[in-house]
Amino acid sequence: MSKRMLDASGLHKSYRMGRVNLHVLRGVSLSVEHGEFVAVIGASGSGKSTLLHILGLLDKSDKGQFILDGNDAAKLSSRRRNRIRCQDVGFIFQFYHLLGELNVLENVMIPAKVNYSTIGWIGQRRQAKTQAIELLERLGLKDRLKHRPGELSGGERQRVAIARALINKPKILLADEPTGNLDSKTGLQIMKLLKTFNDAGQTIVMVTHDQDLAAAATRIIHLRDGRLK
Amino acid sequence: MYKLFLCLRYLRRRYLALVAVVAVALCVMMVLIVVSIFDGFLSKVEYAARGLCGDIVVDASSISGIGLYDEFIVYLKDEAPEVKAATPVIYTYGLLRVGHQTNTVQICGIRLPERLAVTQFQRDMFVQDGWKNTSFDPPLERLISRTEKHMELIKSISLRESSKPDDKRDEHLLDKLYIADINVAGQREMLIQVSLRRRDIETIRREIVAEQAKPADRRDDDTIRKLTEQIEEVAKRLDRDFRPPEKRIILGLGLSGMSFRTPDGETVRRVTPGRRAVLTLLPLGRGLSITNTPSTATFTVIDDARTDLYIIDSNTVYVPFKTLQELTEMGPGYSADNPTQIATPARCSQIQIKVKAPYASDSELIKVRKKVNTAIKKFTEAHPSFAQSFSSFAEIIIPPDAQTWREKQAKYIGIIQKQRAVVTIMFGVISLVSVLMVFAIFHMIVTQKIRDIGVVRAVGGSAGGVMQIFLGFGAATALLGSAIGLTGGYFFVRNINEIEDWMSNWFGVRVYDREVYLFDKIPNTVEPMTMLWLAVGAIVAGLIGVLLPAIKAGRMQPVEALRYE
Ligand SMILES: Nc1ncnc2c1ncn2[C@@H]1O[C@H](COP(=O)(O)OP(=O)(O)O)[C@@H](O)[C@H]1O
Ligand SMILES: [Mg+2]
Repeated sequence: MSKRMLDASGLHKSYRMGRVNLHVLRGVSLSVEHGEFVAVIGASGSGKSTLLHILGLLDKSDKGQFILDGNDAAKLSSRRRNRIRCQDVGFIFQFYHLLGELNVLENVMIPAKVNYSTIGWIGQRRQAKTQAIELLERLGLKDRLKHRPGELSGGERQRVAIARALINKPKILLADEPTGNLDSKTGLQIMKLLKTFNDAGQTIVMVTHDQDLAAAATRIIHLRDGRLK
Repeated sequence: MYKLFLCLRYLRRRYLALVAVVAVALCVMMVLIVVSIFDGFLSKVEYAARGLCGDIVVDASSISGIGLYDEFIVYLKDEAPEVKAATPVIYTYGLLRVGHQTNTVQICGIRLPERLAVTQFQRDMFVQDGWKNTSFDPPLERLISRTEKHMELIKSISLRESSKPDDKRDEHLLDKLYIADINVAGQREMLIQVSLRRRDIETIRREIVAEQAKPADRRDDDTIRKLTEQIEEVAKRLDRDFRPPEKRIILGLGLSGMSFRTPDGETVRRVTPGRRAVLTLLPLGRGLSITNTPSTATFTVIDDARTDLYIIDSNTVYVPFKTLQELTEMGPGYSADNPTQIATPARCSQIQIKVKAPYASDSELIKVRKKVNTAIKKFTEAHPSFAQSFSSFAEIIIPPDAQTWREKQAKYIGIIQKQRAVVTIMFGVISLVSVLMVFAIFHMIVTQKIRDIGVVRAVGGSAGGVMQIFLGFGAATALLGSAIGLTGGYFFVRNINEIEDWMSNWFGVRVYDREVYLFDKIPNTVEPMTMLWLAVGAIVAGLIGVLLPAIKAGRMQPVEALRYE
């Protein structure tokens, strides 16, 4: 494991809104080692989500170099990007983003289903299901497998989202204000969970605007004026 | 894997999609019903048309007709082994009088039972229904029993109608039934008289035989002579009242005034076997000239027949070929110098041909028809009198022309085909609405599901995969819709007559007026191919409708999808 988990240098990103050019990232450089739990703190609108989307290959930077687990993002085909997003990256969002038509177990299994073709899935189904149930048990959702997201509390939904992010055993977990929509007590529980996963070796990059929550992280960076400090 | 899973799950949980399913189902059902009923009518009419004239028809090119027809048929069978049977027919027009009722009719001179090998003439006859040897001389007992059965039918309809409450009873129908009953009873009486007279003749004949069997010395020749005279007298009366087979007529069931249909579809006859009918026609066999004087002949009604084509049945009567040939003066013409020498052969106006089963398809039939036309040309060259026309100016020879039944009936069949095409196109256009519905609904669904799209992309789903989810969703919607529509349409068409009965009971309106259409029932067959095509069409329509929303979903940037509120 000599390689770094990710290596970004001089990332720029700007949005055009009519005539105004909104320069959100202005030369972001960041390296994350395997097993780290990095917290990026920034005010609302400072470009945290934008950065996380670039790190998770959901978006592209305008300028700069980004290497994820040895892959140069600029040189990846869209097929490869999809594949890496599926297998190596897990996302957690502020608003959970669970699929309302699916129950808890089905939501958690979606990334596993995306990972396999129909035929491949037949061989994997049972294993994926056991893994999903195991994960959900660890997250204290044993009795909620058949519930729809609408029937769960915010904390429970976020735990389902964590299970979904982890089902494919990603190399890196990207969390976008995972507690932003929760009360502080529940938020702390979620942070504790992330910490336990990090203790077990899971690399995590989390962005938040809440100084206190960042305490769980092994490294804290500030995003200000489009740069990391 | 996730694509199929998600599209099925959406189908189950997105109730908006059910609106699309219903729209597709209704369109599919509508088109299936319309196409099935039209196809049903079309195939009935085609069946009737083919049953009417055989597979191939050779029409005379002039009013003078076709000579040497029997010789030609023998020749044709040699030339074209595909031909199974052929029969000459004479067509002409005249006036038919039965009682006070006079109709202009097409008179059709046919050879029975020979014509049965060519057409389905024996179908749906009153007396000889389904008989093998339909003729102009069915057994008298059968005539009587069928007539009596018909009287029972009239009685039962009267009973049914008169037991209805006052406001629902149709007094006009009861009056018509009463008149029919009187008429049929009179005809039955006549038939029984005939039967009795035949028995009389039989008895006298036996007496003669007994007398003749006596030894010569005790035999009374005077008695024998008297008895023979008696027989002659009875036979003469018999011939007058109930004419010999050559003077019998079969009526088309549909001639006005001879029968009527009750609102429930029963056919009630006023004219049944035994009734007298007078035909008046202009003999045109020698060509048209002012010296033509009408010939009149009296016939006994022996049966009625139905082709299911109203235009035929409402104005056609059938008489023996030979009889009509004489009446139209189409019989042989004898030389002026030598009255025993035939100068011009007897003629017919049409030859109807039946081909062997393997050649009955449209494409094969056209080949056979070409062969027939070749045979006609060659035969005309060898025997000019085959095609000779008795024009007042000159003797013209134009070979008659052969047509397949479809070519011949193109006029009637074409009308229905055109109507069917128009209605199908109309409903097809209406079905475009379902495409628009699918489009609008899926546009809404995609908008509602933008965040899901972001999630699917975030966990590694491709743009194409997202598009496929919605295409699959659309196809599944169309598939489900067409399955429901086809099932619904199938059961609707199969039970259309019951549904129509039920509707008329509830609303008191008959959509399908059985007095107007000659078919008792609305066609209720559904072609599997029609169903297949409709299912394919619905799925294609569904895919077209969902295409743009699906492309939109696939093109969506994952980041924007995730940010979408
Ligand atoms: N697609 C976009 N078009 C225009 N502006 C955008 C777009 N996405 C983000 N922005 C803007 O970029 C800035 C950074 O956004 P974001 O990364 O979401 O910040 P944070 O997550 O730190 O709140 C915001 O001002 C936002 O309005
Ligand atoms: Mg944000």
